[in-house]
Formats: sequence, structure tokens, C-alpha cells
Amino acid sequence: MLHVIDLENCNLASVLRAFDRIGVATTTVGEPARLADAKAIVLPGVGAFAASMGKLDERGFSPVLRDLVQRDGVPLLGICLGMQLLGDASEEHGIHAGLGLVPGTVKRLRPASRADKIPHVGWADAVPAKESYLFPEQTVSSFYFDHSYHFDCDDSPDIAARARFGNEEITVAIQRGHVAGVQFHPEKSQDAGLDLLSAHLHWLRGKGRL
Amino acid sequence: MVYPRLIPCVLLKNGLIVRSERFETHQVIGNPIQTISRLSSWNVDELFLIDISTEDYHDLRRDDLHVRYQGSSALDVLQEIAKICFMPLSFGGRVRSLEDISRILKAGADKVSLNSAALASPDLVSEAAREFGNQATVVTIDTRRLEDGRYEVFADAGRTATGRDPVDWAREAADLGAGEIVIQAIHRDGSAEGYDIELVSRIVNAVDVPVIALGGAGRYQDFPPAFEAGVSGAAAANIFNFFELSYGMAKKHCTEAGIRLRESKLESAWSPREPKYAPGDASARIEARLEAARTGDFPAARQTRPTQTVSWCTECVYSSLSATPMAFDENGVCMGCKTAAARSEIPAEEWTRREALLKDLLERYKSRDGMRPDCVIAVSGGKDSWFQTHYIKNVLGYNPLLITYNGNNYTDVGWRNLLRMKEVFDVDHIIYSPRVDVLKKLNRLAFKIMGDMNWHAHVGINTVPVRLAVQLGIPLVIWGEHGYMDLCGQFAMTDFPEMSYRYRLEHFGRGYDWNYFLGLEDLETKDLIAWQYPRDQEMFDLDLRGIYLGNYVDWDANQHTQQMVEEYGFEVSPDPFDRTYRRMSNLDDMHENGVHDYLKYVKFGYGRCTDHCCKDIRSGKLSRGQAIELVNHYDPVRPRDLYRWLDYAEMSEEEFDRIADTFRDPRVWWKDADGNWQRTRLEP
Repeated sequence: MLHVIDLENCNLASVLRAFDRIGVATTTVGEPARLADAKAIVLPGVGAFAASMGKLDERGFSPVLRDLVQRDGVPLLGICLGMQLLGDASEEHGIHAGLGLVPGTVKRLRPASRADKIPHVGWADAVPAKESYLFPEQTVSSFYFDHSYHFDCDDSPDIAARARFGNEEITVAIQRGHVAGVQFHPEKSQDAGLDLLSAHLHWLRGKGRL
Repeated sequence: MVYPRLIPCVLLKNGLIVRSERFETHQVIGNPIQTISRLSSWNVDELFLIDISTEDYHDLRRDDLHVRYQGSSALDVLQEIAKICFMPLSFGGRVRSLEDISRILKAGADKVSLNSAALASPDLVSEAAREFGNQATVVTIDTRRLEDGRYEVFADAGRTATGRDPVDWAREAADLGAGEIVIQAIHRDGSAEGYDIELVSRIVNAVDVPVIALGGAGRYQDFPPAFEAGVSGAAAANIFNFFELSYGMAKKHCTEAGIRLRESKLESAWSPREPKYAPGDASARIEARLEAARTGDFPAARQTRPTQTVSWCTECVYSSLSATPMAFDENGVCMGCKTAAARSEIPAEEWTRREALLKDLLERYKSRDGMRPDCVIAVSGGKDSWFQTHYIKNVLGYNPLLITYNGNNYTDVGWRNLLRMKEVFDVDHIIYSPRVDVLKKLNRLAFKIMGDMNWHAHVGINTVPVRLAVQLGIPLVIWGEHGYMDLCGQFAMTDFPEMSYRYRLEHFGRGYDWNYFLGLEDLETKDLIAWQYPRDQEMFDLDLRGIYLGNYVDWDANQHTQQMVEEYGFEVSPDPFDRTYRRMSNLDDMHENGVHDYLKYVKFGYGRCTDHCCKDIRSGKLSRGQAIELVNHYDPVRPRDLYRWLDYAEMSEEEFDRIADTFRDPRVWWKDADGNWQRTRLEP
């Protein structure tokens, strides 16, 4: 059973459908008390960083998530904005603190020419940066992106995959121990996305978390 | 670096996929779920759904194994589609307000396309962009090229001229916050003439947001010019309904032309091609059917009048409540008549051009070293098979291999015709005869499940030649006419549709593939080899094509039969059939014109005589008055071959009738006060 946090900020249904397709049961969680028995957590999200972080704080999710993840070792996967929320802070419309589970700051994408459109929407290649449970095969695959900000990792060993934007190689997947995040939308990335979620599940099973 | 996208566009009308031409004619292609499942298993970049319904109702036609939607609006279809889509989904059609957009996004779309409403109130674009983001706000611009070469934007599905220039409107829409512009050329819609590159280029150069081209793609070579013009996406509807593996082939074509697109695999581990049937569904379905037969309680039996009025084509005798995907124009003329008329107007030089196209294909796919046959001809031994073999072997001079699926129901004369082909034409011939015990099981099961004992034949005929072609490494399979194109004008003469898994599953298989039967009457995978289609990757690697000769040759069944009789000694049936006046059709299967066709009458109130009459009216052999007399005489006839079938399938006549009745379509049939079945019929 995967616990999926619902911040009412994204089409959660497509994330749930993706998990359903790869054969895992999910339960959606609207308040932190429901996380008490969680063995693995998913944090999806789209939209503005501050609004969603505000919701996590208001509803009391933030301390609970930090405890579960850091003290009890519960695996957490962030998707899109969910990955950005794992960082220390974001520079989107001012400076806002994040969950602080993976060292890094969320920064605006920097276009190098007219061809680099913001938001960065569409299919782009993610190149695995290390061996991780997200990319066990370490093959380059295309995923579907839709974002204007990216996660700037402090500790390069945390970088799981990069993609090219403008003149930079931006971080598009992170993995620090049992905390992971992807900037793209695996639930909208056809087989490549479902394969990634499936690899994550495989790892969770190996850890006895499913 | 974002990849340019190749985007299949699915046009929906009243819950079905349609093929559109210049926004004026719409031919029904089929059920969206089957097509979209196919696109999902091809890992497409994106899906663009456009609902062109003008009213909310769904007409899913015959009771096949389709996904049934709750409700009747396009949103209900969208919700079903979203369940099988793991790619970005764009939706357009009758979007009028922020509430509409919100509902569409909630139903599973990622982007919403605004068109007429945005022209009427441009603020809707900026409000949508603010509320849902630029990336979710798409503006589609329907454009026509006028006589003087100017372009003009049209609203209301091409009906209303706006006086606006598409470039100005694209700029304004982008400034208002549209995250993407779709530029659609109405004058190219369904034309297969390629995109209007001049128009596309103007828009691309005018705005900074991604531009998607739509309208006109009919051949794979139509895609690269759009990408070269700088579009972020090339979208197309019709072409993805025409050809097998069309998406992979289109991408391959672009790659060879130097366009870098995202790699998309053909086969998906997560969205397999063969439908996944719920465990126990088949047994439950049979159980429910037998229960309805026992109690006599089913929809048609509960009513004392029909639920829907029937109308007939004003030129032929085709019914509006048909077994096939038929559409009618505003004058009540069916698409079958319209396509036949368009066909009869094709000038001789066009047939010459088409013959050259056919020769090009045969040249391209023939054996280079004589180590394999040049092509496969799928033959039943009937009049069309004889003509095809005559044409390919004796007229064009190629070396075909004939392949036959033998469903064990041949008439004596049909079997004689089949066996004589190898001598008459001097060709090699493989007859594949599945085990009779398996055939009997499939006859029984398919009768109970779908009211059609001939599922085995319809699917087998469309599987065995393809499977063997792949195994023998022969990349070209030749068929006769495209059945639905001929009967109900499903495609236009410019489409050149080819065989496909979708067509096989949806129309021949009624949504049931071989795996539906697993476990029923102890059937196992190994019993069903004859009905297992080759894998997509195998077909792709071989570049397998299945073409219909009717697209290349001026086809006249009556004249061809005459020619085969005179030149080669083809035998027509010495005895008349019970249910039709034609003596030259369906000799390969005594039940096809008999009990199988009788069941069509039980379901829909008409039979093969209607089909034959329609074709003969269109070719000028019959008047409508004569046809009405013929169909009223032949369509209700209970055929004699029923008794052979009952012995063969080990079923009593009473059980057969009770089960058959449960399939009566409530739109056609009702019971009168005396408990007799009544239907609306065509009166002279």
C-alpha cells in the first residue's frame, strides 16, 4: 500500500491510475494523522511552491513527514513540484523554505536563446547520473516535463539524472538514500514513466516496504 | 531540448471516432477505446481529442465488446479514455467557459483547446491561462484559404467566417496567454494533400509559443515538411486510421528524413495490444445469456413498440440501425452510396495511375532472388480470390502464394473452386485447416457470446494469411475489397486504407480477440494458434503491408465473376441460396449466407440480401423498388443450413431460437399483443 499525499493541487487521478496500472494499491492522504502506518509515501504536485508548502505546513504535514522520513526511514518519492518541496528552499516568487530532506535550492530555469521556452513543456531526455533504484538500467529515456523551476542540488552524489536545458545540465531526478524525486511526470511519460515507477516499487518490495 | 511531437488526433462524434473531410462529411470509423488502446501501446507522444458532436448522445451501434460509457456527453468518453492513457492528453470541442475547462481537466485532460469561444470572447483565453496555467491553455485556429489566396479564420466548426487573419489572431491568442497554438487548415482536412506549409510557416514565424499543425496529412511523407517549417507538433487524424503500425511508420519516415523525434516503442509492457478481459467475464456473459434465454426476459421482449425510429438511405435500402458503422448526409443519403458514386466518377486515367501505384508496391516488395513468393494473396476460393489471382499472376506477372483459412463450412462448389485454383492459375497454395473439435467449440461459444457462430471465420480469415506471411518473410498481403469501404463508405477513395489489427479486432472480431476464449470449454493457448495475430514488432521489422486491391483496380464484382466464369471456368452456385438472390458470393461458407446471416436479421431486422441489393443499386443493376421487394422476401427467410449447424454444434433448434432471440436489438424489434415479434420494415 502506497500512501499518496493529496494537496488538491494536481490531477491526482492520473498519478493514481499509473500506480493502478503497474499493480500497486494506493491510499490518498489529506491529513498527516493518516500517515501513521505508512510504509512508503508519494508526494505529487503541480503549481506554485509557496502555496503547496503553505498547505503542508498548515495541515501539519511538514514535521510529520520529516519525522517519518528521517527518524523512521520511511521512503518518500516526490513528483514534479513534489520533488522541489524536498529541497531546503525555493526562489519562486521570493524565498520560501522547503521540507529540507535533500540539500538544494529550487531556481528558475535560464533560457539561453529564443528556442528555450519557459515553461519547459514537452518530452526531453533524462540521462542517469549514477546507479539508483529509479534508473536500475541506467539507460537514457525521454520523459514528459512541465515546469519553470528546477532543483539545484548541493551534493552532486544526490543527483540521479540530468537533462539539457539552455546551456545547462539541470537536475531532473534526485535520490538520497530512501528519499527520491523526479521533476518530470512519470504518469504522463508512457512506458518510460511506468517503468520508472515500477523500478521504484521493485526497490520498495526489496526493502519489505510493500 | 524538447522533442517535436507527432500527435494522433482523434475526432469524436456521438461517442464514436469519425473520419472528417473538409469539415463537411463524417464517416464513422469505430469505437474510440480500441483505437486509443492501440495508440497507448504504441507509446505515442501525445493525444489530441476533438469532440465534434453537436448534441449529447452516444450511438455505439451493434452490441460488441466495447467499453460502455456511463452518461452521454463527450466528458464521459474522456473519462474512459483517460483510464487507458499515460501520455499528455489535449481535449477540444464545445469549450465555452472556465467551468467547462475545469470539468475537462478533472476528467483527465492536461490541456484544453479553445476555439470559437475564444474568438467570441478573447478574455476567456487570459482567464483560462491565469486559472489553469499557460501550458493547459491551447487555442485552435480553423483557417480556410480563400479563392484569392488570402487566409481567413472561421468559427463554429468552419461554418462562420470571422473576417480575421490567422496570423493576427495567433499573435493575439499568444499575448493573451495561450501556451500553444494549433493551426488547422480546413481546406486540407481529410484531403491527404499534405499540410498547408505556407500557412503553418506564417504562424510559426509570428509567435513564440509552440505551434501544432493540423489538417491534410495523408501519407507519411507529409510529416517532415511540417517539422522543417518549425512546428513543435504535427497532428493528424485520418492517417492513423488508415494503416497498420501507422504511428511507428510515420516516426520511422521522419527519422529517415533527418527529423529527430522521441523514440517510441511499438509494444508496451503496460498497455498490451490484446485486450485484457476481466477474469470470469466470459463465463459470466455466457451464463447471463443462457439465463435470459431461459426466462425470456431481455430488452426487446419487454417492449410493445420500438424504442427508435428506423430510416433508410433514400437511394439504396440501407438501414439507419445497421450492423456496420454507417453515416448519412443531410439529404439522407448513406456514405456507402456516396463513396460508390465518388468511385464511379473516377476517370480512366486515375485508374491507370492507381495501377502504376500498385505495380510500384509489388516491385518494392517482390522477392529479389526468387527465394520466396512475391506476395501472399488471401483466398477463400470465391469469385474475388479468382480475380485477385488472375490479376496479380496473369495480368501483372508476379508470383503469389495463395493462403486459405479453412473454417470447415465449404459448400461443395466452393470447395471445388478452391482446390482448382492452383491448377487454373499455376500457383502454390497453402490451405490451413484448424482442428475441427476446436472449430466446433468456437462455433458454440461465439454464438452464445456474440450471436455469431462465425467469429472463428471472420477472425481466422484475417489472421492466418498475415501470420503465415510474417513467418515466411513475405512482406505483402493482398486482399480484395475493403468490406466496410465498399458496403458503407467508411473511407474515401483517396485514403487507400490497409489491413490493421484494429480493423480485425473491432470489426471482424467484434472486440473479442482469441484470448477471450481461454478457459472456455477447456480451450488453451495452443488450441488457438490460428487466431493469434503476429506481433507488432515482427510486422514492423518485415515492413508488412496488407493492401486492398479495390483501391487500385476498378472493381466490379458482377463483371469480374462473369469474366472468371468465361475465362477460367469458375463455378457459381448451381442452387439458389435461401437468403439472397446472388449465386456468386460466400461459397466458402454455407453458413455465412445462411444461419450466420439469419442471425443478423434476428438482431437488426435485415440481412445479406439488403447488402447485395445496396451494392447492385449503386452499380445500376437494380432499382430501389425491385430491391425493396427482394429484401422483404429474402431477409426474413429461415435457412436450411441451420440444421447442419445444429448437428455440428450439438444444439437443439429450440435452444438456438431461445438464445438467438436474446440478441434482438430493442431499437428494431418489439412484441405485439399476441407475443409475436414485429419490426419496422421498408414498404414499397
